[in-house]
Amino acid sequence: MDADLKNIITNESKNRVKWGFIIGFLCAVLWGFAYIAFAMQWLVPPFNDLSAFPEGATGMMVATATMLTVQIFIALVLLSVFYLGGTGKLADLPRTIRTYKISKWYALAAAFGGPIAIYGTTLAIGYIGAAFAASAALLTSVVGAFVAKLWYGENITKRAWMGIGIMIVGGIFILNPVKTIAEITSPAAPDGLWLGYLGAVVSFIGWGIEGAVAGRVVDLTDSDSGLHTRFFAELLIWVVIIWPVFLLLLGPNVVFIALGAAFTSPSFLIWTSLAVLSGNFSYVFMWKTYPLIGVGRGMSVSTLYVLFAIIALYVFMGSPTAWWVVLGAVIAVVGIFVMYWDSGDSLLESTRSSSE
Amino acid sequence: MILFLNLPVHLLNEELKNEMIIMAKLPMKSRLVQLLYQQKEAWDYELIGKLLPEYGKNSDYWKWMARFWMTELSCGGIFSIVDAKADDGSRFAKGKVLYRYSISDFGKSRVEELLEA
Repeated sequence: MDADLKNIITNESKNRVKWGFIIGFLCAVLWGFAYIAFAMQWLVPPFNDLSAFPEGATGMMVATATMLTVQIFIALVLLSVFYLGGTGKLADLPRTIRTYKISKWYALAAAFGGPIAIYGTTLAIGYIGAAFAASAALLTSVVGAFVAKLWYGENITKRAWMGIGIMIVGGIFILNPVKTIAEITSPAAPDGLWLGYLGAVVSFIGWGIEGAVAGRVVDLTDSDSGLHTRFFAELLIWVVIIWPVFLLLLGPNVVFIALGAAFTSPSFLIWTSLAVLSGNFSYVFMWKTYPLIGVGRGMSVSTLYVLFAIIALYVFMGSPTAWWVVLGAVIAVVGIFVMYWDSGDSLLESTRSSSE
Repeated sequence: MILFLNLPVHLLNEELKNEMIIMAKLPMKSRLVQLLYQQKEAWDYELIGKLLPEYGKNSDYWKWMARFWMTELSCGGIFSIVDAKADDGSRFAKGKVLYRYSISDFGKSRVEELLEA
């Protein structure tokens, strides 16, 4: 290889790494700030007094489902038109949806990532708080690593085990079992508080599985049209499976009052649109970092979101975060960096190591 | 569909016509992987020269997009880089690197599982 070519290749990869870090950082900032919108969704009508929903824990389930259905609907419409339309990839969306061998995996990913994981995290935000929910989501990497090992035989290296160990220590601080049990068993606890903690656990298990499932097909399709296929599948799951179940169990009145209240609340629609443009849109950035700096570094940089979330929630909402959540989040971020940072010898090398 | 591909219809038999329609239905990046799967080894500009006309694209933006996809694919272990040379300006732009790719065994198994038959 002559010196001239080497020079060009070095320049090109430098440029690539620079953009990878810029995009990863943007992703973290957007994702962190999204938690303001996620928290605001609970503070505007009809979610501030919950009068449009049934009483108690059932009401929370209906309220969360309502919020998420509206959000995924707005995500699909807003981002398809402006982002896919703007990048000229709109025609690729129906092609991706029609290629069933691929889209069925996106649908499975949507089932775990949407109704399961986001449902969980939204309950955690509603009952306990946005910073807690954001921190608990960091444990996704632990679940993701185990699922990838079980399904694809991807190696968990010594370094990764170390990272997982550190993350679990962080997770113990975040979930704070002693306080959690005391809170749940206290007679003064609000009805269904345990749902918030359960939701947090369900969220990182769901996202871990989502990542592993999507990993099967995201290689072979464009990440932007793939992401929208996933959004489309999630909307279908809400409309075709979950709402009919609610309809049968709770009757049409409950369902139509809930959805009607959400769709006619302008402040809720505005905050949801902001949640979509920050939260859902940050996914686009995260997937773009993978080819530029590698999956491991991309994920590490993106997880800085939790620090931005905690800072943003404090500055803009005035909501302080419990010290054990902050400490646990910092420990978990360190664990993720340990696990992924040096996942390849060079930035141009393949980031996937498999024992096959 | 055939008009869209700019091919003389009478030259195609039924079977080939159906095959072309199926191919045009794949998402662009998936079709890119399938092209290398069929050719085993190729330069990036050769793949782009085949891919873009099938979808009626030709601009620098889509060339850039296809090269971004190929970077993704080599990063994900689907494509392997077998050779590289400097672009003298005749392919994309002066100062770019041209890569020759082969499909990896991992890539082959992915295509066979998700795109073929």
